[in-house]
Amino acid sequence: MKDERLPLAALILMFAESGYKSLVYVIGLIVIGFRDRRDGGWIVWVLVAVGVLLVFGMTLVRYLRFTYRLADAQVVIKSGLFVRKTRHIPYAKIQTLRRQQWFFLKPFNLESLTIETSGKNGSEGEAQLYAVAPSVGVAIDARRKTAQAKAVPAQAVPAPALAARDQAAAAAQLGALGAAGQPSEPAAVLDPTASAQPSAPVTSGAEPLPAELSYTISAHDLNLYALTSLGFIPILTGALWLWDKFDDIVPKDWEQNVNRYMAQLAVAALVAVIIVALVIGIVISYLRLVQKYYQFTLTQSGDTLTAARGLLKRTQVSTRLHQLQAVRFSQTVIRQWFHLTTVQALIASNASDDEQSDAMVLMPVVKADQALTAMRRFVTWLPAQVPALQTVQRSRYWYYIRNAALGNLVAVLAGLVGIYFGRPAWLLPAALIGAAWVLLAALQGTYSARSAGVKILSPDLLVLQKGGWWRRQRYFVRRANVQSLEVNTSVWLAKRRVCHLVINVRQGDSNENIEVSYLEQPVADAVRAWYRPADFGAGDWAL
Amino acid sequence: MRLPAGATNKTVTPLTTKNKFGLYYRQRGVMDEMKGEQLPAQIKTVWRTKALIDGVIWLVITIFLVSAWRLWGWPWWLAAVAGAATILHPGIHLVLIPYRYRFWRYLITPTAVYSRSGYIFRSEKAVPISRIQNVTLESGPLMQWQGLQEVQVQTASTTDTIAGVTKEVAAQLRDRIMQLAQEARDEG
Repeated sequence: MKDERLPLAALILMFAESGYKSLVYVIGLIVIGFRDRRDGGWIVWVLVAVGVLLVFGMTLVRYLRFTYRLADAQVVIKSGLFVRKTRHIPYAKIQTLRRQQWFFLKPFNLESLTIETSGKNGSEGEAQLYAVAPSVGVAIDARRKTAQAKAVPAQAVPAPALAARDQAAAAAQLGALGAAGQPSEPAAVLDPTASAQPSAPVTSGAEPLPAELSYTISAHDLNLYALTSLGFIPILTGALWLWDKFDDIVPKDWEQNVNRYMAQLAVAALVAVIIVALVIGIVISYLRLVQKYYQFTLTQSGDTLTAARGLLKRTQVSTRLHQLQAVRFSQTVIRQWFHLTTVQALIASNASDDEQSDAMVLMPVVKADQALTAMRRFVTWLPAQVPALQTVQRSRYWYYIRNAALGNLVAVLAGLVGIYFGRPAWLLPAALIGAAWVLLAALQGTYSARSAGVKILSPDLLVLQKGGWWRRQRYFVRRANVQSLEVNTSVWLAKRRVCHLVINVRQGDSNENIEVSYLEQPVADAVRAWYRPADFGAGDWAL
Repeated sequence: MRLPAGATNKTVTPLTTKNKFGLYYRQRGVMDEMKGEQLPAQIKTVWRTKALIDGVIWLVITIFLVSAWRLWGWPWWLAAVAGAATILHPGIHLVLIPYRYRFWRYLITPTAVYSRSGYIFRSEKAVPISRIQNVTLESGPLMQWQGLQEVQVQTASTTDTIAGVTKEVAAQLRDRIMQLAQEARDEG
């Protein structure tokens, strides 16, 4: 089959679309151009004509240079004049085919075809055929089905369901999802992010669904979660919110009186006022969290995990187990002291909580030693326990401390320079605060260094741990979900045989970059051999 | 393009060679046991030309800013900054081209795409072919002039690039990846 252009009708539609889009600019140009004009404004018309010609010319070029071809194993899409792009999309990797027919395409009997793979969405993730005959979509669909049926024999997994954020009743939802667990099409839809891992639990329609597993947070745990969530930021936002409200309610002259009054207040009394504001901020933040995670329930039904929470607004997020990319156990320093941990899931779709806008919460808070056992009921590939991790050696702690301190020192110095030119009177207290901040950053560096580590648990499972800003995170990742692996080092580190390990995992619509820095070279090599045993040999992966 | 059939030399002794600058060049990893490919030599021409074009653009900006300073009294330091950029930006690129070329390697095995870059700051990447979702071959006018294409390999969450390969190599690469992606097996 040779390269095909889009049908001619598509060109007319592309003209119309470009014309419509550039209408605003044309009108704007005319309006601006004709203001204060003395010479009759002929030049504006010239400019408008040139602009219109340009737009239509570019559209024509775009149309002429866009071709597609349904080859044996892939769709080939070529585009571009100066920068030529050829995209090859194998049929087996096509996740979704979106076929849309706008009303203006109807008379031409054309439809708009969007081919989505499980690569990231956006300009690179999806390919679009602007307007083609419906037969093209049918042909691609047919080839996709054959390709995927060949690849994964008889494993019927329906297309992944995305999040349901509305107030649908949990039971009805689960019932519907349970019914959808039956094979709906003879050809399998590949799970693109786990490369046909056979161990994903799949229920066929014939067997009864396993008993629903569920976990509901207790009131005590919820309290604990809200209390241990108190970071600096929530307190600050609480206080600022309060001040803002205060500003709105109170009449201006009264506020001026208060300001004058406060200016004369003794320092001790001022501190007392600040503390009261902070306490109120804490209370507000506590109540907010309790409301948000009220009656948090995690349910597993067949292949689907559903998390529901909230008092004022009940939200519900579901994901399929095979869409799980990694499980993250996250502990802030406070939670570490209390031996608590939060469990989150990194999932491939955008069906995540709005809480931290990155991961779906599986368990808001659970005792650290029971966490794995509790989660294993839901996510069966987690290990029963974790042996000691391969950590960063003590002699390498210095790197962490140096990096944290230096980075913050630069920021502090920049701030001090600004203060010196702005308000020199504040320089000394600012310098003291800056020094304390750098010291804090150095301590944070030590904390990060102690937290970093990696361990190979089995030929299919890896655990990584890293420390962030007063927070420690432990990732459990299956080998099939690691998209790529990097080992970075520098010429100075290489002499000492030290390097950084980076694991890339899909999270939402983007990448989660899990980096463990300043590991010893043999450890990184072992992880690489674990990831690519064919090219590195079995080696001694069981470190 | 040679495609070595799997790992051959399993000895993991670090390779130490003395290059022409008298520096010991020591690297670990798959690239030592299996020879990686260098980019085609034409890529250097592309890089040099791009650096020169950047230089010309900066020169135009500098001239404009100098005349703006003269004619309309714009601040002099704008022109100074642009002038510095005219020399530094392409200059640094030109100086780094041999370094970049020398220390860039890529390797395709039956199951994965590997790439390695840099000497001072080194990076080795491994992308299994079974994770590759699609392959994009892109070439701007400079690359087309030299007959090269940039290969972008996209997994579910990352995109890795091989800066430039000849058209034949690109075609072989694409065919190999498509064939293996179609099978979609997780080769061990």
